[in-house]
Amino acid sequence: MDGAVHEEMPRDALPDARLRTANRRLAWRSAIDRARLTATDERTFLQDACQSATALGGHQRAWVGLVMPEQGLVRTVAEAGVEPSRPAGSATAGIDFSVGEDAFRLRVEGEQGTTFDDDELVALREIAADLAAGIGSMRDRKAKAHVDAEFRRVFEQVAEVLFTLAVEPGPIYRFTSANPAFEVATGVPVQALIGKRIDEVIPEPSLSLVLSKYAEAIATQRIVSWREVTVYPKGRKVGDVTMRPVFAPDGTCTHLVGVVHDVTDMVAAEDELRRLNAELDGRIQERTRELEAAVKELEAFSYTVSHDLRAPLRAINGFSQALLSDHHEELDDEGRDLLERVRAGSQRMGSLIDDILGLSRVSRAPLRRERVDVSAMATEMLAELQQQEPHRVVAVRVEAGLVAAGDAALLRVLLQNLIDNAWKFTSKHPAATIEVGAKATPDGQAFFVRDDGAGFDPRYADKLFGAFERLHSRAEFPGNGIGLATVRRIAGRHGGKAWAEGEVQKGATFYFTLAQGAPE
Amino acid sequence: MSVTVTSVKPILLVEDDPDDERLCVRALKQSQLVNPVVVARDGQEALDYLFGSDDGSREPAERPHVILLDLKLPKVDGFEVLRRIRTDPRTETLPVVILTGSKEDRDIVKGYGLRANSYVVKPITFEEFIEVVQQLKLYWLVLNQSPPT
Repeated sequence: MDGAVHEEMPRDALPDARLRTANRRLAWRSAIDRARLTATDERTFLQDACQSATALGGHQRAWVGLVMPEQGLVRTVAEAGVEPSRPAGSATAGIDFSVGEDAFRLRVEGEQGTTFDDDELVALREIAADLAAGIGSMRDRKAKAHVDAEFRRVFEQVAEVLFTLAVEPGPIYRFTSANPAFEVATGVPVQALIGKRIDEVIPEPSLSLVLSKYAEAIATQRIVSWREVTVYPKGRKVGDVTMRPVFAPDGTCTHLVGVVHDVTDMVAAEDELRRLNAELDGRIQERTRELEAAVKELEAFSYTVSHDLRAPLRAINGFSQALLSDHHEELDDEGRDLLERVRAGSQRMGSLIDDILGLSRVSRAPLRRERVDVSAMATEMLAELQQQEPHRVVAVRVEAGLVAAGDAALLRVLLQNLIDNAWKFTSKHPAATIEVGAKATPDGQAFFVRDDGAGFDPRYADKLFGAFERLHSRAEFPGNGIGLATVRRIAGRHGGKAWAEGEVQKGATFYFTLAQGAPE
Repeated sequence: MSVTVTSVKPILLVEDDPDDERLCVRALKQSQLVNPVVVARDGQEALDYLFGSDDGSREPAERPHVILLDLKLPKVDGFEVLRRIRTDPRTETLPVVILTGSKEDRDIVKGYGLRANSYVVKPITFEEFIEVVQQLKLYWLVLNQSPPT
């Protein structure tokens, strides 16, 4: 309330006129007090103040403006009364006042001929002070309402269940508040809850747990947390509860403030996960049993093949031989030739049976991974072949330091098959080269055995690896067509694979990989 | 080292397959064997021969020089026969050669586990069969020093 402006006006000396003026001013101030209580916002309050200045205060016009220093102007906030014709001699008084950061200006204009003397200016300053106080309290109220609204918003919107309990002697715990989340979670209406005792809301067996936890929180004067499963009207609920005791200055516990985090869905999801895991476990066990049964059956089958299929072959072979030697004279050349063919056939079948059993053994034998020196193994095999057939001219190139992580016995079978093949399919060439090495492939390190022998039509590259598949006649190259099937199966058992590249009469390269360290 | 003269004690062939029996006997004959060959056609017969019948109606027969034992046999299988031979003091040192069609590793392991003296797979061709029988004869009837009885 500073910067009073005093415009010099002719003085009214009449005492009853002064009295009337004083009365009007009093009425005006009372109206301002009322407006302060009834007005909902600043502008309405100031508007009411201006209205009562003209209606009760005896002024022709009242106006309040907000000083806007940056724009260099005063913006009208409220005004009342008629625009004076402003003849010379009309009285105007202006008072500045401030609320917080804001500067306001009050201006009143009297009836024509009235003047503002010192008394009246003092009274106007009081009015300005009333306006400042009114605006201030209005602003405080608004700020408080805002904070309350925020608290209410949090209380009502938060996902967690919030509630308070009054602790009465006994102790009796009585609900004093609960947020809507409480009702959503439990199905117990908040209206019905307030004032109820805890034992009227929470059923056993949760109640005993809850009461003991409350007692613990009060006794230890600490926050206590626990997980609680309770059956509410809305169903079974699992909640993580945190309870804080609130104490009066004399040390008695007056309230408990509780927060419940609803973990029903989470716990259900965990249970479901556990159930699924158990189910999966059961299924795996079942599959394992099935697999074990299948392996047992396969073993029984192999055993039968091994033992029983060979017996009739021995009979066919042996008795053909008996016929040939005991009844030699009674048979002519053709008869003897036919019997020889019977014997050769039984012999071949015997070797086929051996090959099938060998292949099935590859699948059944347990796999033991160890460090295998492939270079040494290959060198040794090739040296042995050279020794058996010294007339063959074969240049051997084995890369040094080839090391594999695999089952030594199975890798020996694999490598022997590939090297035997290379040796066999270069046998028609006067000079040959056999190479053993390794190279990086998209499937990891691949070992290879390469020869420059008969090769094969690449269209049949995959057919090579089928059991009993042959791309050459037996007359051309001997064999049962089981070697590469064995190679592929051994690579597969190691988690790797086998493949081939080649061209007719341009040699062949056989690759295999062994997944490092992975179990079968 | 001393070499025994060819014993005339019998050879016990435990074999249920008549074809295999005939082939085996034929092979033994062709290898100039002088020992008589006694054939038991199932495991029980073999046990009866070695230990006499359970009801005591028959005494144990003459102790064989060597037993050629098939594994897959009716009534009592070859492994059980071998186990009984090895657990009876009268026969525990008797040479037993398993002669079978099975090439299964587990059978071989089990056979040696029960203290078989040899494990021989019956070959498919008769020539090999004769070869095998001849070697068996040479080893078990000529070279090998049998335990004193």
